Amino acid sequence: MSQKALKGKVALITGGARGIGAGIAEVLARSGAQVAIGDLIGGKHSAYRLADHDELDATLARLADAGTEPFSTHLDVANGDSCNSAVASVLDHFGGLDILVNNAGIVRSGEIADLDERDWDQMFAVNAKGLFLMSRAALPALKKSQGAIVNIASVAGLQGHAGMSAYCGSKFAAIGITQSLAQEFARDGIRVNAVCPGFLATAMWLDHLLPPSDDDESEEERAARFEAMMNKMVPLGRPQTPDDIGEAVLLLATAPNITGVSLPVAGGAIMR
Amino acid sequence: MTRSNRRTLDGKVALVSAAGRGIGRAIAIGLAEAGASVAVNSYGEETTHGTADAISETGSRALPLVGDITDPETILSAAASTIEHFGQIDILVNNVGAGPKQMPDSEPHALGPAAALWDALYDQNLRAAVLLTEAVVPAMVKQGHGKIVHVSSIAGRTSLSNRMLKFFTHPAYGAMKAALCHYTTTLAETLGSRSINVNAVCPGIVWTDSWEKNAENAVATLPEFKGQNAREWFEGIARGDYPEIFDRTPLRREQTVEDIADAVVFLSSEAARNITGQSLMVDGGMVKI
Repeated sequence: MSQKALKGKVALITGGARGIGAGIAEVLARSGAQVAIGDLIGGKHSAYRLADHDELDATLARLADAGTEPFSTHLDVANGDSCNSAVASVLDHFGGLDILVNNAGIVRSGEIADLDERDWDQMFAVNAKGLFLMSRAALPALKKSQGAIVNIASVAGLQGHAGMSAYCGSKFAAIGITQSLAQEFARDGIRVNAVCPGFLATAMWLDHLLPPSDDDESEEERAARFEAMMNKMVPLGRPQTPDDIGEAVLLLATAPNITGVSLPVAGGAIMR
Repeated sequence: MTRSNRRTLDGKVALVSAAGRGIGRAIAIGLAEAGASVAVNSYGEETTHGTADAISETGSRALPLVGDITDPETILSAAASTIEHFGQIDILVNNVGAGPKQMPDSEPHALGPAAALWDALYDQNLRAAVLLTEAVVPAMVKQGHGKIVHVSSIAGRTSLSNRMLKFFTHPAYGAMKAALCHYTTTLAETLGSRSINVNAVCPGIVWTDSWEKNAENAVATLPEFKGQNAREWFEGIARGDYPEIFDRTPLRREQTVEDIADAVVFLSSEAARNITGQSLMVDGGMVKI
């Protein structure tokens, strides 16, 4: 495939201010796409810090380095009006939309007995309902472009884990939505697939899912502990990177005869 | 390699089995176009050289390896020749598959024909891939890296309709392809610590020699299709014209050999460095998995 496989295409990445979303945006930008980032800057979450303005600005600067003129818009994927206006602003700015990457997601772990009902609702609102609201908002534009949707689910959408019922439940939902929309949208020439990331050293993992250490840890020490854990947990023995996820998104965004699949990028942590 | 160029196969060496025609040929050419040197195995002299010549035209190097890749001697010499000629082997694509060209000889008892057919499909669809993998893996382990891609099938991921099984696809074919997908996962697990990725691609229904023959049989023997043009009848599969035989293809277009090649090239590249143990469907959405 040529390096500029996405020349002339417009991609919108939700939750693209940092982490996996920023990595996806960079890969798509390097492939020639015009990239729009939708993110809920400064949002509140009970378990860890969400993306802020500095992180968004750093990502936009990297996208500019990749030779694109990125666009960003405020987006709360759990709010239908916000989804509609974010898509409208992308259409207004770039004149069309070819690729929607539903990447925005949040995590909260905890056993059911201790799980707050608001946390449960918020997770399903972002990780599951967000796919509905964004897909609905983008549908007319994607019909016009014969475009593609790539949902960022998770290996947690393929296998349940103790203490992860809300997150796994919302990610299983994401895969069910992916399969259903793949069939529903096929008649309009729109393909819908999912990537299932495994374990990345993003805020979600480092700030929340990594078991706490007894010692006062530096960021480097924590990252090293994460790597060591991956070495034991994952057949390929290494964490995945946002770039890895971006490459899988690029494949699914461009493969004309792949739809409805959920592709794990997890170093072999799950195989199917 | 630049970060933006993780899909390139420059400097890589690939071995592709059954690459004389159809999907195998497209995979070999796809790998070459991405920059790899390619050892091309196929049964026939002419087909092997045909693919090798096409690869040379892309500017990549080709090594023709004529021979029956279900035969252990051919398997060993294909692996050895590739390594001797190119000095390394980074990518193995086990593409050999499908059914025997004619009914194999069978023992003179009631189970003879069934046993012979199952054995033949095992030899071609599973055993050949396993043995070629065994022949290549020691070199990949020594190098400390490698990419193995098996060409499986939708038939290995889903049950097929009674009529499909009766007219087109022997149950042993699906059983062997399912085994190949399972072998993909166990091999990925055992080779993960060696930085060797193992994945499979599951093509849908692709216009190759096999399906050309199937289509000709369909319009020659099935009463409701009798007299139709074979190619036009085939196009009806993706359109969803025969729901009693074939599951619907949501995207309603046939898959091409290039679609399969693109998926194999991706899985053979550093872009897929953290993907292992997966069976990727390239089927227009026919199988829901």
